[in-house]
Amino acid sequence: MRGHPIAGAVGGFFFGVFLALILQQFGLRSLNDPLSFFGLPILFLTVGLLLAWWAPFGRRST
Amino acid sequence: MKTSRVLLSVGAAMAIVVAVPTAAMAGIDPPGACDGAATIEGAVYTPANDTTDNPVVVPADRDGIIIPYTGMVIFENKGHSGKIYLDTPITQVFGETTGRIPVASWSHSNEGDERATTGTYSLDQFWEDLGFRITGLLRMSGKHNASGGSCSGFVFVKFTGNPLGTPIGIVAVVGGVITGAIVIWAGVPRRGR
Repeated sequence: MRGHPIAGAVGGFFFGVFLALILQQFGLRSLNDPLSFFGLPILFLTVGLLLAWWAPFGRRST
Repeated sequence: MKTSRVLLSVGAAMAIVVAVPTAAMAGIDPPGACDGAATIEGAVYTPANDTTDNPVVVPADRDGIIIPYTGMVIFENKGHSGKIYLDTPITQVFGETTGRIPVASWSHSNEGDERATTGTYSLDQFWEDLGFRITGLLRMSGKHNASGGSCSGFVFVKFTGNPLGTPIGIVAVVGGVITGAIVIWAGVPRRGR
């Protein structure tokens, strides 16, 4: 992995938690919905790991 | 180009999660054993408001709201007790008895076996007891026990108002921005790579 996998996993997980909370706060989804409360953290943990593996940001072309 | 594809994928994933409707569930168990209604700003709500797209709407940004309600059971109602509470994420993870926000509770010997009641509920008192205001979509559950049986149910409640005016809303948005930045940073190559 070229990026930061631990930051990607931990940051992604908690981003999913906060996103679920934001959706709840704005009345878009309930936290009682497993897709929101469990699905989003798992989804964004995966996204964070994928980003760390891909590391597409800030690369300079050679 | 790759960066824009990543952001597009993340945005699409978020859009799917927002768009998929949450599952509808029955509001009263056992069906018909109890019933009730509450009137908030002219709108009458019943146990039928048990889906996220048909919630009980409660203004969280206004003071002085009094909610008239009625309730009834069909079984013998002596020695009754009951509770109504809001479920939180802690309830979601650790089970029904943990992390609930109490809304109301009652108990009475009720030797006369009265099976219906009416009353009013002060939303201001609820906010005062809670200590802060909340917004958004929450599940509200209740249970009533008596000599002749028991009844449980739930509705979804949407507290309307500005989330950024509540402590939970502020924590959610600030936390989302910080952790979102960490996720983006995770996609920056380490030095020497």
